[in-house]
This record gives sequence, C-alpha cells and structure tokens, in this order.
Amino acid sequence: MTETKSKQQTHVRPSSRDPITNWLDVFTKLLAVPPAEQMRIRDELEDHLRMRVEDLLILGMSEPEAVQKAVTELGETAELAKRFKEARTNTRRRIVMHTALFAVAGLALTMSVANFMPGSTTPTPASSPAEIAAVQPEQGEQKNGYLGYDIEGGMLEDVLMNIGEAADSRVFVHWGSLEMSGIDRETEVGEIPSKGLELDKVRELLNSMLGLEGGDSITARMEYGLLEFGTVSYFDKREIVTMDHDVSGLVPAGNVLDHSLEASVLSSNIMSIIEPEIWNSRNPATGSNGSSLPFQHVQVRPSAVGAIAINGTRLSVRAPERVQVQIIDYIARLRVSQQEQDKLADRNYEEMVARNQESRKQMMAQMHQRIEMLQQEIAELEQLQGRYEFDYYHAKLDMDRLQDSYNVATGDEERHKLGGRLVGAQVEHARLESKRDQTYREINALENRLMDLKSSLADLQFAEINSRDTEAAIDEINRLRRTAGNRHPAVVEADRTTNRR
Amino acid sequence: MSKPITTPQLTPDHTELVILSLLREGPSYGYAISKLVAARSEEAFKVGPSQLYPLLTKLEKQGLVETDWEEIKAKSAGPDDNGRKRKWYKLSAKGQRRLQQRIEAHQRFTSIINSFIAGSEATGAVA
Repeated sequence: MTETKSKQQTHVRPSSRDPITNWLDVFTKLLAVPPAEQMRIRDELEDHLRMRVEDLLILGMSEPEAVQKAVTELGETAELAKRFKEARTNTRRRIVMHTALFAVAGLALTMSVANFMPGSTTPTPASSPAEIAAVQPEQGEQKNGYLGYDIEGGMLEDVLMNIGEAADSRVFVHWGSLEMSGIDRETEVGEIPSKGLELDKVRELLNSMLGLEGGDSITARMEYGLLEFGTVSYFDKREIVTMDHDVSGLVPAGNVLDHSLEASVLSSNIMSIIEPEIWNSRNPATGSNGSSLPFQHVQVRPSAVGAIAINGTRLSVRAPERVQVQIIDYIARLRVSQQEQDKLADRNYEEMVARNQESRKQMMAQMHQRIEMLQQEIAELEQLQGRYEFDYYHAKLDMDRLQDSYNVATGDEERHKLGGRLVGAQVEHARLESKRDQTYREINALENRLMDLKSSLADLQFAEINSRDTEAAIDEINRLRRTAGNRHPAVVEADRTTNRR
Repeated sequence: MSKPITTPQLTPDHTELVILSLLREGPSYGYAISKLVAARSEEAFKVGPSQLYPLLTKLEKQGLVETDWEEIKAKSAGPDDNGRKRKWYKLSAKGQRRLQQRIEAHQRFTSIINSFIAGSEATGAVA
C-alpha cells in the first residue's frame, strides 16, 4: 500500500481560503512533530473536516455553521496537537514497557520464567487474569510494567536479538553507534538481577554493567513494528528537529535579529541546565573560555548536536525532540516566575504611587497654608505701604511749601529759620520715601514668593490630576515591559522609582 | 425511582479493539471509521476525531496498521489540479495477531465476569 490512488468525487468544497484552511494553518503550527508528519496529519484532518462539513450541509446547516460545528468537534486546538504529539512520544516511551510485556507474553514459548506479576514464580494457567492483562498492553504497562525474571548473561547481540524476538518485532541494531561507545556484538553481558524491576531500571543496570552513560548509553525505539537499538547520541542526531520557542515577555522586543543580553542569558541557561552535553555552542558570558565575544561557537564534543540561535524574541533551537520538550517546560516555568515578579513590581509601583499621592496632598495642604499666610502678610504690608504713601505725600507737601516760603523770604533771620525747617522737612521726606520704597520692595518680594508658591501648587495639582489615572499608567508600563522589554526608558524610570533596580 | 441508564463509554482499550475489529473487515479511513462505530452501535458509542486520529497514529507507529493515501478530486477539477488527500488504514499481520490476542483476552475476561454473575444468580435463585 504505497501508491497514491486517484478518485473522482462529487465534492462540495467551501471557498478556497476558508476557515478550515485558517484553522489547519494554526493547528499545524502547534504540532510539535517533524514537518513531513505535520503535513500528513494536516491532510488527514482536512479530509475529515471537509467530509464532515459536506454531511452537515446535506443536513441543512449553513456553511459557516457547518464549518464551526466540524471544527468544534475536533476539540481544543492545542490539546489536539498535544494528543498527536503524545501518540508519537508515548509509542517511543512505551517501547521498554512493550518489551517487558511481550517478553512476558512470549514466556511460555521461549523462556523458563514465570509471569510478570511480582512475587510470583509459578507459571499461571492460560486463561488466568494475569495473562489477560499481559495481552492488554495499556493495563499491563501502567500497572505491571516490571520483569518477573532475571536476564541471563551472554553476548550482547544475542541478548538484544532475544528481546526483539520476545517483542514480536524485527530487530535492527545500529552497531556503528554502539561500537563508537566501545561495545560490539561480542561484548559479554553478565546476568542482570532484573526480577521485580521496571525495565527502565533494568536498562540502567545494563548500561551500568557495560560502563555506558549519557550519550553513549544504549536505548531503543520501536516504530512500524521495527525495534531499533542504538546509543542515545545516535537517536539524538536522528530525531533532531528545529523549533522556534517564543520567549516574548522574557526578553526585550526589538529587531528580529537582535541579540539582547536577556536572550543571551536565557540561551546560556538552557545550555547549562538542559542536557549540557548535547550542545555544540556555549555562550562565553557564562562559559569558561573567558572570551568577550557574545556568541562564539565552541566545540564541546564531537557528538554534540544541539544549537541555539537568538532571533529577537524567539529562540530557534536545533535539538532532539526530547530536549525540545524540556525547553518548552523550562520556558513555561520561567514565564510563571516572570509573571510573579511582574505582579510584585506592579504592587510596588502601586504602593509608590499611593505614597506619592499622599505626599502630594500633604505638600498641597502646606502650600495652601503658606499662600494664605503670604496673602495676609502682603495685605498688611499694603496697608502699611498706604500709610507710608500718605505720610510721604504730606511730607512732600510740607517740604514744597517750606521751599516756596524760603524762596520768597527776604530777611536773613526768616530765611535762616525757614532754611532749618526746610532741611528738617527734606530729611523727613527722604525718610518716608525710603520707608515707602522699602515697603514696595517687600511687597514685590512677597508677591514673587506668592507667585512661586502658586506655580508649585499648580504643578502639584497637575500631578494630582494625572495620578488619578494611575491604573492606566501601570497598564501602560506593563504593556511596554511585555512588548519592548525592561530596557524601555519608561519602564526603566518606573523600575527606578520603585527601587526595583 | 431508579437511576437512568447512562450511555456506556468506550475505554481506550475497547476503542482500540473496536477499531482493529472494523479494520479486519477491510481497509477504511478516519471519518468512515467514526461513522461506522456510531452506526454499528446505534449511536451508543461515539469516537470523536480528537480521540480517533491520535489513536490511529499510535496504531500506525506500533506497526498494527498499514496506511495508504488516495487523492480525492472534485468533478470539476482538471487533470493537473491537486485534490485533497485521504489516508486509508489496513490491518497489518502484526495487527491481526494483536487483535486475535485482544479478542481472546476480552472473551476470557467476559467469561470470568459472567461466571461471577451466573454464580450470584444461582445463589439468588436458591435463596
């Protein structure tokens, strides 16, 4: 069944760029499987959706209703994508369990071991519940996935082939990869005390007995009825995929090719924490070679396969699927942590705004008080200045009158008397003029202070009005933090005022 | 007043058994399988697409079914126009063996349960 057949069919096909195509586009992006498989799943679901829509149209639904119902029946998009991913992943993860169970099922034929129920060494009757469980993999895998016998020692090739036979599968061993780890067909394996142990534990023991660890250790895959053995490094290389991980909100937004410091740190953390041995590049900022270049690639080991490229708010990661899953989990955890920090920053900011509002209110009250005092003082000075003005004009009149009298006086004695009084009047005039001018200056100074105070009060009132929209301001800061990152000037200012940095 | 009888739900094991059984009758594709399950069970069982397609993917990965693609073209399509693709499933030899094991296990399981039911009925009859 390999050729693609062709068939003519009456086909009610909705418009070319319809909601189904849009939904499939979104769904395909969420599918974390290799591209070729993405397309196969997409094609299959498209066939399902279009057939379902045709049926619903025949039942009398309008096209939009039919499309809506068909898509809704598929369930939540991300959940469906996850199920496809799990269907692949679980198959791989269950290989070990299948092996255990098939080994048990084939027990009566090939091995002298009892059943897989722990603690039992007696073969059970053919129709016993235990055997029934053995041919129902889900129940067996989940509840009884452990061995009931010890594995006999022998040559590695024989051991692996026996497992394959018991697993009812063809076997292919990638000997080249195993030989690179220093083992071959004739490598002797001692008896493994596996009775009552889960197969994962048995595999650990096998690798431990052979002195294999990390990328050199033996693992297996079963797909399409073929059981393959090879090293972890071999399967890592074969199952490598490139995925774009969205890290917006964790790193600043900017040009798509920007390398922000935050993204560099994130990339470096991933390479340090998640399977450090698979990466073929290190960020020297946290590495050990002391280089100041931000992204110099350093060969860690020949079999390393992973790489990370920073593209603005996306990390393009080339790594095996199992590592991609760990990265998704890690980023999700970081995002939760970031949200908690953002909430704390918001709370600090709100408290700071509340403190500022209270402080402004107090300052405004004090200013109102000082303005009142100044206005009172100015009023008193103006009253005083009025009196000085009045006295000054009277003194001037006296002085002018004495001057006139002095000018027309003829006798020396009279002129002498008038001259004395004139000098006295001039002194008084000058004194009053000085006091009047001084009062003017004092009033001017007070009025300037009054104007300054009123100006400051206006500023505070303006700030007060602005602060009434505090929530909108906080929302705006948060939006900038998410879209432009922590280095946006407004965000930096907000953080600075809340002592965040 | 007795409780209303609820519609039985297929467990994942039963769903796999049902699908493998249908495929033993002949090759089929996803949408047809889902309609067949509903029709054969008189709408008692429904296997939704979100359950069906991941399960078919799993069966394919396990080598229990083989697949083939068919191109479906509209009547109005020209010879060079691409049609949409339909994925057909066929039971593999390994799938046949697995199905046989599952059927036998299911029958033994049912038989054991029935023995309890028969025992309780006999006891009830004596009482």
